[in-house]
Amino acid sequence: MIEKDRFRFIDKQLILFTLLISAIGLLVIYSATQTINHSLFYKQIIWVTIGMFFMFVIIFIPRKFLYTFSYWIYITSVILLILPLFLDHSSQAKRWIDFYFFQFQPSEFAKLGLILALVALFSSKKESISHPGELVLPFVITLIPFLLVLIEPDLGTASVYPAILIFILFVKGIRLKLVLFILTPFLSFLTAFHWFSWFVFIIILIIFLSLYRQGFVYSFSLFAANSLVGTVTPIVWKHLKPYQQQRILSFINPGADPRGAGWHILQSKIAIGSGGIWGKGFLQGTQNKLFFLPEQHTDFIFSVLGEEWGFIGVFIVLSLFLLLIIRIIIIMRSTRSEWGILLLSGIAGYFIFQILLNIGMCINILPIAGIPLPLMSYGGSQTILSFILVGIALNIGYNRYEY
Amino acid sequence: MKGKGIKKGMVIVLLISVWGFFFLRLGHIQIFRNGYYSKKSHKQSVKKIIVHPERGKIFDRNGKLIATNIKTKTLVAFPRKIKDKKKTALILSEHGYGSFDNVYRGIKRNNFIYLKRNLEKNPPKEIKEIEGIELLQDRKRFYPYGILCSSLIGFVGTEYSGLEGLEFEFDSLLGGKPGWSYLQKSPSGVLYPHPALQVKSPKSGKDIVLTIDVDIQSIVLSELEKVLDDTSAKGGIVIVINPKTGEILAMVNLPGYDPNHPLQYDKKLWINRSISELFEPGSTFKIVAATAAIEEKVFKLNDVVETGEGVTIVGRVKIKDAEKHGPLTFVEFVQHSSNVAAVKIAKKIGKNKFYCYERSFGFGARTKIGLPGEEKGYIGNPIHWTPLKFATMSFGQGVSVTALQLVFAYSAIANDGFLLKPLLVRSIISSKGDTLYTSTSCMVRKVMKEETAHILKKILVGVVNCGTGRFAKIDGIEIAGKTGTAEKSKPVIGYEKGEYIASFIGFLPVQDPQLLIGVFIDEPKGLYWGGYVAAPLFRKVAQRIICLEDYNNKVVSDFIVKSTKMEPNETIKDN
Repeated sequence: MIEKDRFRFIDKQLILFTLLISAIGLLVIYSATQTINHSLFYKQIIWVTIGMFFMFVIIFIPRKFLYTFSYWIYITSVILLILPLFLDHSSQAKRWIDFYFFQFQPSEFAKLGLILALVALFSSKKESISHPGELVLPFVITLIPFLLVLIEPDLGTASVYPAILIFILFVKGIRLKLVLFILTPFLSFLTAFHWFSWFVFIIILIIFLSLYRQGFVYSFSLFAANSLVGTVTPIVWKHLKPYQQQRILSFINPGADPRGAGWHILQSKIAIGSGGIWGKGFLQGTQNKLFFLPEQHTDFIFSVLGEEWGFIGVFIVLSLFLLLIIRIIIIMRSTRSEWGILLLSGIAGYFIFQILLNIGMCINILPIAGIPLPLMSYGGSQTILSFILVGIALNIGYNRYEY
Repeated sequence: MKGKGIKKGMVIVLLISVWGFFFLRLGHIQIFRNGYYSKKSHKQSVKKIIVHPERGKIFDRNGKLIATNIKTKTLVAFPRKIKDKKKTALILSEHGYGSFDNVYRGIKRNNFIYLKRNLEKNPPKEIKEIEGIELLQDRKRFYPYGILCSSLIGFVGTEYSGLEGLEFEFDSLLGGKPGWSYLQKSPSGVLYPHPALQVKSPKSGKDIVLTIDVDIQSIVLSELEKVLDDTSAKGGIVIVINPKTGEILAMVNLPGYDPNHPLQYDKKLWINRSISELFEPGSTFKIVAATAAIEEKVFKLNDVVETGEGVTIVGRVKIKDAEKHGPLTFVEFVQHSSNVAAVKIAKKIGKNKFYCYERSFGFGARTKIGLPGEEKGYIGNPIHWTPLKFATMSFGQGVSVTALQLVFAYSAIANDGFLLKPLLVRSIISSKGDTLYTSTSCMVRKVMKEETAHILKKILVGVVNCGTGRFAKIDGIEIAGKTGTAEKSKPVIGYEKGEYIASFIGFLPVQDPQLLIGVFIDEPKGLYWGGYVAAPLFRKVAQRIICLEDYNNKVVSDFIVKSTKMEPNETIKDN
């Protein structure tokens, strides 16, 4: 009786939104792969099927299983990240482990590992984080996959890991003092590209610290951290690969180099803009079919959606994504265990960050990150991971009254 | 937990506002700026291909092809695809596609260049194999007869529009209307058929059938070439018409050019000199005075004009005849071509009437043949004529005419007094083969009474039989004609010493004129008189034309061609 009753805890709406999004994603992929390789569409059907299978299985696995294997999953994912560095000497981008029919992307799997590890770490502490020392281990855990992916090199995917950390930290609760410790070096990083802007930022920081009065040690170490980031950033910039520099620069001014990196952004904007309200129609997108869009089935799938389905299609998909995230937050509100809440925040963080970064790239308000749109872009690892994460969210909701 | 509730509410508000910002951005791009991006998308992905229509062909009166189109190959380069530009330029220059510097500069600076249009032979394999160098289908206007109809037909430019002659005049008719189709274009330049946009098929140009007879044209050309060689003349014009219909059968200007390669010739040669070059006609112009005198009954045929010592003084200028003639009858005046007599007769006719007859013959006005660059000539206004000018005009100096005007003035005599409009186009045929237009003879005006024309014919027959035009005589056919030897005027004022235009205009057979031939030789060296240079050419041309099947029975049924031998010691002079 009790077991049967518990089925109502399965969030059917979340399942519905997930399936709707991936169904629309399949339709768009059908159109996007039409002129490149149509077998990719059928492959994606397989990935979605496998993903759904995982999703439904995960709902019913015992929570303890996930909790106990958290660190093991993390360690496995780190090993998998290291493997391609040694296995593959031929190609430049060491992003995949090649199975016979499937190129496994460990960087996607590492997202799951990191969420589980961070949540396991934070949920063992009762109070919100107030001492910088408590942040060392989470930072290290995040930094390992971040650096491993960065040297692949894949700047976009690497940026997902710190984003997950920030989301979990936010929900866990953290004192303003420490937020400033994370936030100000980041602002230093952003302003450091131009010496004058950084100089202005440091002046404002000094004035702020003199008013905030948190003691000399705190003020000095914060100032020192900012100075370090501010001076190291320009040096690192010089050592960045030209294509990475190009991506950042072309974000700032896409018109400057219409055939280079800015070309992608421009073509994406043209695709979305020319879609209008009602879109050009299914399979009618010229930007898509004539190869004006780069990576039209993966990173720029949203541009294909915008071109062929117009504002209506884009509105529906963005709304579905928002509803999906809100469902996760609603599950979070009724979940009693902190472990569950933090896990849900990591999952929500993953979706929010990847959705915003990917779509923001397509509509030219964020830099080209080269990350897929969850549940929509083509890709086995990415699709299965998204379904697994939704499955975990459903599992937590299913077990919401467990501590 | 309470604090966390607030935080979650805040997170949802934050999320919705971020989503709202994205919606605003998307709305801005997709709704507000939709037009701008649609245009950009269209511009970069749609390529309009102009489909050129087939240009109309030009035929002679017997259906022989004078101008047609051939498919050719053109060698082009897409420098973006060329990997080693220096090496490519070197190979190209080695095979004669321009100097290394030129080719290399062209490849370096452009996205597309023509290496050579309308190749005569296929390029070697070595060149074809270079990536970025391609052979494209092209077309070329082809004139099978080359130089034969050059200045008459004109030619087309590389963009296929008519630049000279008939090609220019009938450009829109021949050219047709271009069509277009749309193709989809990928960034790398690959083209796909466009699924939606309309295709407009081109409208082919119309074919033109000319009144020209290529056979006559070639007879004229070969004979004229010989004469120019023999006399070392600067140039020559021969016009052959049917005086009864006004149809132009041949119109040859030499030196000519090859319309297949017009740029290899001096631009001056492109002009159709039969209608664009003005000259002083000389004695051939005396028909004006003769016609006026008869029409106005100023002279009777047997009235005598005293030429005395062959000199008359107008103002301070002496006007001379080539020989002393003494008293001449009216008929003898034309036959011996006396200037003094012409002056005296014209004086009796009077300025204004003389002017009327000039205009009536068509001088001083365009013939409206329908070719570009036709001149109208100069006869001035009788009010401004000085007595000297009027006097010289009577024997054809001090006026300027075109060869075509002069030929048509004579056609009025041949045609019993009716001046006809020159016809060059016989019919216009649509690309499907329907005849859209057939020309008919068009009378301009009646210049003289029929009797007057008969009298003049008789006089002109006399010129050929026993006057200055004796070398034009063909046994068995009665030919009427008139010689002329005009001094060439200097560009500003006065006359070039020793530079003449020798001319002869005649028609045959006199009873029922079928052919009228005007011969004009520019600056012949040695014996320069019209009767000596132009008249024999007239005879040769006429003889060969009447040997042609079409004209043989029309001209004379029992005529057997005989080569009439010239007596070399016989001299003929005219003025």
